[in-house]
Amino acid sequence: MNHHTIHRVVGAGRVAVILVWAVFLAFAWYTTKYPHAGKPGRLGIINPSYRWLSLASAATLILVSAALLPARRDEHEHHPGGGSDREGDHDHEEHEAASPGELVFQALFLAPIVLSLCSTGSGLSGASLSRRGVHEIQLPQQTQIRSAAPTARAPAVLAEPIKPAGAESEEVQPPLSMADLYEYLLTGAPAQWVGRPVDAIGQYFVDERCSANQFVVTRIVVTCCLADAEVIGVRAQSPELFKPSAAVNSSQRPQAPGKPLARVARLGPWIEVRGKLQALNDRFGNPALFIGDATVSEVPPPDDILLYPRRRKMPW
Amino acid sequence: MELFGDFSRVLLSILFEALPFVLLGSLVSGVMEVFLPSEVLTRILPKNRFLATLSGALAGLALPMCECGVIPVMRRLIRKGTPLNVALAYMLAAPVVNPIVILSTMVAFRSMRPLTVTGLRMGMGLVIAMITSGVVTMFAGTKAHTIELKAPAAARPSWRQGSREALGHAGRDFIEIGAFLAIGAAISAALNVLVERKIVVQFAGQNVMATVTMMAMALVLNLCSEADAFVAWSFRDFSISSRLAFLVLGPILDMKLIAMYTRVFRRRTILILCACSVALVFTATMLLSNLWPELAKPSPLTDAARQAQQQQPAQRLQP
Repeated sequence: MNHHTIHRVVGAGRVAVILVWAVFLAFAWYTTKYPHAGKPGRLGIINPSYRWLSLASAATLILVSAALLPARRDEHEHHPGGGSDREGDHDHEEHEAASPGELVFQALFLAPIVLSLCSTGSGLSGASLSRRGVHEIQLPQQTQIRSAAPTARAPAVLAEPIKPAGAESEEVQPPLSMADLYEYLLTGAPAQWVGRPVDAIGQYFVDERCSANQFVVTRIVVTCCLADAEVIGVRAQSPELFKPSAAVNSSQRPQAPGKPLARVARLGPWIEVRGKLQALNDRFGNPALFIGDATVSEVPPPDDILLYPRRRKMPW
Repeated sequence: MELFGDFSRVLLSILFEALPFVLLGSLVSGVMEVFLPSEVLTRILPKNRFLATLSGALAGLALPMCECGVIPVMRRLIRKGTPLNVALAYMLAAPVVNPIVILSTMVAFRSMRPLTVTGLRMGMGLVIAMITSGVVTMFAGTKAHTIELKAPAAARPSWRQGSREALGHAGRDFIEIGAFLAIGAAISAALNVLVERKIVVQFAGQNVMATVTMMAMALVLNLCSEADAFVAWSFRDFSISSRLAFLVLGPILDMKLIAMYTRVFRRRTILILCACSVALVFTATMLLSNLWPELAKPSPLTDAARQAQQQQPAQRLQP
């Protein structure tokens, strides 16, 4: 291949790579916005708040690729010898930049797209989530402990419900969702947590701290993209024993304090939990924030299994 | 197969997050190449070396860029004749000292000394960027980078021709930097999927180990400076000072950035840059912990959880 051919191949490669990325970014924007067959798009891996960036980038890349070819064509047609000083300089730079090695860069840049086309599924697998651990929505320090006489089967209520300032009655308080709980976790308004009604949808999970009628409601939170995904969870306690239909190995629930658990636990089915936030004891007698007196029902998974934190007002 | 799927999705998510900013940086770089005469940059910069470095470090306030987008801009600045110390100070400080990052840090830490954390992040980022740029310039000198300086253009292009040229430069920069971003993102995606964060948490109680661990996490997780504050906040077992180490080091150094630095700097320069920034972030964090011991205390909120973890073996999830 002579120098001119290399130059043309590399130039065409640039345009092709940019166009492929433009199409892929536009596709990512489309699949995030428009679910496929009632399910979120396979590439829904970034917070939808930022999906406009994908679309804007796709449009800009199309512009860039369009500008690449005509510019080079015009240059060769109208200024074969280089023309003015500036054009000559530009021409020299173009030829200098176009080396066969650049084709390797182009292939590398396209590799993630090829990889993504070879993989299936969405979100993160249980193995990856387990490495991240569950970030528990914890009991605020300021909660006043009234007594401490826990039992494994029936933990004691440790704190008086605290009404939020300005609330006339409990009925007027809107129930907190998992997104609200995550927001409260961020803003740290601890005194207002206890006593608030909750209506949370998440995945059922049991850990070593759960007694027989306790479990954890979990959601996967994505702030920006899947790389920062974390599992958040709030403990719940129901008056009656809740048995999930499937996907949770109930033998993983420890039968007695101190008995070791199975190494692997599972995120269970999707559940809706209604109750009130209370400070209760876990299986070991440690106080924790619970959805107390919880009524539990299994529900179908939401359209998007990921939870994206809302940006509320600033602290100042 | 599950891990492969996770890897490819995390890799793609990092690229989706970073590429718009790389593109923005490439566009700014292209516009600078075509429309910004070299002599303007040299004319507006202060003659005093310290002031010039400071102005470079503060330039992020006017030209906000995250760590991925800043590299093509910095490369173009050097090509246009900007002194290395100024361009380096801009590259290292701009991902921290910029309005978007200031806001996101304040929002993420709004329940936990937002002004203190944000102020310390900005202050430490600024000082470390200036010292690192000075050290790199001193030790690596004129052989620090692989960029050829551009001779001043004889004639200004027309708006139309210039726009086309600027877009052309942007396209070339985008592919070149993007390829190295893909390499770095692949390494970071693998580590992101494989690193067991429960193991990491056990180092939270000891100040030195907590700082080292959080610095290692910054290198491994490769998060954008505009979102890393939310992740830093989620490491609730760690002290504020160790989380500051994460917030300051991350925008200067991580796997994808090291891969991208190879397109600009020689190996020796990258080594000096890495060693200097790591040493400075660690020293600054230790200094801060001693001067302000309250910031070095581990979060007391997780005592119950830690107690339970000690009683029982670690548990793993599966969907």
